[in-house]
Amino acid sequence: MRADYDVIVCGGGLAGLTLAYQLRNEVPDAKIAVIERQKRPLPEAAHKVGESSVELASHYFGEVLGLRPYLLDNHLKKNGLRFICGDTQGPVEERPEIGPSEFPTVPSYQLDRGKLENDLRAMIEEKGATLLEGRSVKDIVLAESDDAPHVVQTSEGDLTCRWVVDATGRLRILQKKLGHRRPSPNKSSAVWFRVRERVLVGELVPKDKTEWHQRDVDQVRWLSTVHLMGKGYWLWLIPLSTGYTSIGIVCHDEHQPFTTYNTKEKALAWIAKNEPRVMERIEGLELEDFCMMPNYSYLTDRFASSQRWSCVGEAAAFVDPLYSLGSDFISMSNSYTTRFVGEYLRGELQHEVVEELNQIYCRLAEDAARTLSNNGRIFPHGDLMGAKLWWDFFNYWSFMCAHFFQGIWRQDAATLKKFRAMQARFYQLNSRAQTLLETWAELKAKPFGGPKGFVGLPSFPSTLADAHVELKVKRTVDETYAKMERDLKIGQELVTEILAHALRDLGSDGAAELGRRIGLSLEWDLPLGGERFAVDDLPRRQRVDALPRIARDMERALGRVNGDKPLRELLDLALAAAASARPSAPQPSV
Amino acid sequence: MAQRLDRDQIFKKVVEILSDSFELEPSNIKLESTLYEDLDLDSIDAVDIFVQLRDLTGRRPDPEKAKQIRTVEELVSFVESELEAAERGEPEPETPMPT
Repeated sequence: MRADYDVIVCGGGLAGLTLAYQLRNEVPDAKIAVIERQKRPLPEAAHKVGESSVELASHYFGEVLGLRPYLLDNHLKKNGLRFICGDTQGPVEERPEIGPSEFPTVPSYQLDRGKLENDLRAMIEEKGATLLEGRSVKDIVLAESDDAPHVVQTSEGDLTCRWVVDATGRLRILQKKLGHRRPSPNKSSAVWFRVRERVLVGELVPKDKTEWHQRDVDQVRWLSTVHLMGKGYWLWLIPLSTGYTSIGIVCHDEHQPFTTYNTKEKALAWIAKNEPRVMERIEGLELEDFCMMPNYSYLTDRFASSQRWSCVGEAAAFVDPLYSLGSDFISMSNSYTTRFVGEYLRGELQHEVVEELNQIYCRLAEDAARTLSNNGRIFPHGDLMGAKLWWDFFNYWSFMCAHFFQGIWRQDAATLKKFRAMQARFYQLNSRAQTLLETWAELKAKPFGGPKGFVGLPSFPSTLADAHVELKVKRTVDETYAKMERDLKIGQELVTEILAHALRDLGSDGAAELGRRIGLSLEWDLPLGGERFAVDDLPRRQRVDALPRIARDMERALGRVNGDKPLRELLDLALAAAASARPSAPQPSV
Repeated sequence: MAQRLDRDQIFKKVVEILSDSFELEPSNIKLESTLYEDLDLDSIDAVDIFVQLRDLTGRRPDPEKAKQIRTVEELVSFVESELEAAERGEPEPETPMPT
């Protein structure tokens, strides 16, 4: 087949540029072109979301692409995600704070997108890729037969290639054309802007509140992505290496309509009303690059095909900014694509492998969307948010990160299939965990629940801290599978603990309703029988000795509210209510 | 920084931390109480105590010193010396928290 290039990457944003870099590293014989409308230089602190990376993407940028020294020298090391829940009208130091107490073991970064993309453009040229700047992609015409090239129509004429990559971001040329767009359950919108100075979360708390300030022994709190959480929204503060601060408002449409914050003036009025402590700090500062993204979330039912095309980054799916997963999905779609292109050019590409990875990818995006939608009622509560974060992080590290860090995606179709079945089990457990958390939030009587003060995410020592450190342990495929089996069991215990906290918190009034709404059942893969519920009301020392480790971890992190009845009885109320709500269900025998 | 706490205030603070965190009756926590026998705490509890004391002192405790503490009174003395060290601007020990 004659073609101008082996691979054309349409779009030179973060996804397209890192893919070109990865292809030059891993498939050095391939001739690569990147087509990008915008010419250099890009403004630093450029107006793009995605300045913040979490573990998976940090592993991709740092280790898979080998950019760790560059990132450490040119961007900020990030101190994890930090969440401040509670009464948004009250003092910040009295709101529950959830986040790391020290720098996490597995590094992550705060990326300045403008700077990073300028630098990446130079790096991929140095690596031998062709960068066609100042050209825009008009259309992608896929070949009708296996031995004909695809045609990319650009503002400066047509180009042909063997494999085409859509990295056009939200334009989603291929997804639209081929009908693979799928709606997301996440109905949310966002605006964001920058201010030309550091806005530190510590500046929202008076200096004489020493206990709050001293909690941050290393003075690194500000290097976290800080989320100020309220009902159905959050406000982010992200420090950038260029000395700017990115500030964003994200709202679930059902709680706060987009039209209440979609201009500079309205956004400021929104902040004054919802987060007055932040307004006091930024009053009078000039807002730069005011951007907005209504209804930002969408999914896909196919990101790539053995018909020689793939969509990477936001050209495939976009879930939600809360956990900074955008660059994680770039990392996965890029890595899978690099594998496909390499195998295709060597004549080894198997249709089944593409199909397996396609299903894994689409399911991961769907799972993340499940995790990040319909949860706005959870945000104000420190205990609920803490429980959610413990589960979400454990779930994220156990499957999504493990499959990526351990290179499971490089395995043959049969192995991928086996891991896809494992993924389905995590997916089901996650779906139950999310329903449980949301329903607990719906039934909660108090406006702000949970521990005052600080919740370590993770706290040391704990199961969660182990799960984080374990990311760095290199494992074989079989060891990874066995580890996932163990983690699934711990995950079931963790969800059971969330249930225990919810039942005690809601008491006999709420327990039955909780059981009914979530359809709680002994059929669920949760350890609901046995010792766990029986020992719950023992005095602390005996209880701690009898409980699984995760139960103690959760109590240490979230505190303990005692129920108005023993936990065993609350569970029976919940199970009985669920059973009687099920059509033709037998009475529970517990 | 606010006025440094005296021994009485530190004791009250320690009692508050111990009773809130470990379901202990405040009146049962005395200066002479031993942490591991009388109060029935264990090593994970000890880690949690020192994490909370960090908020009070603003310093990472020296694990060697922390390990030797057996009674509530020794805990109070420890906090007192940490607060003094903080006031003198003494550098913190390099070693991380015991885990």
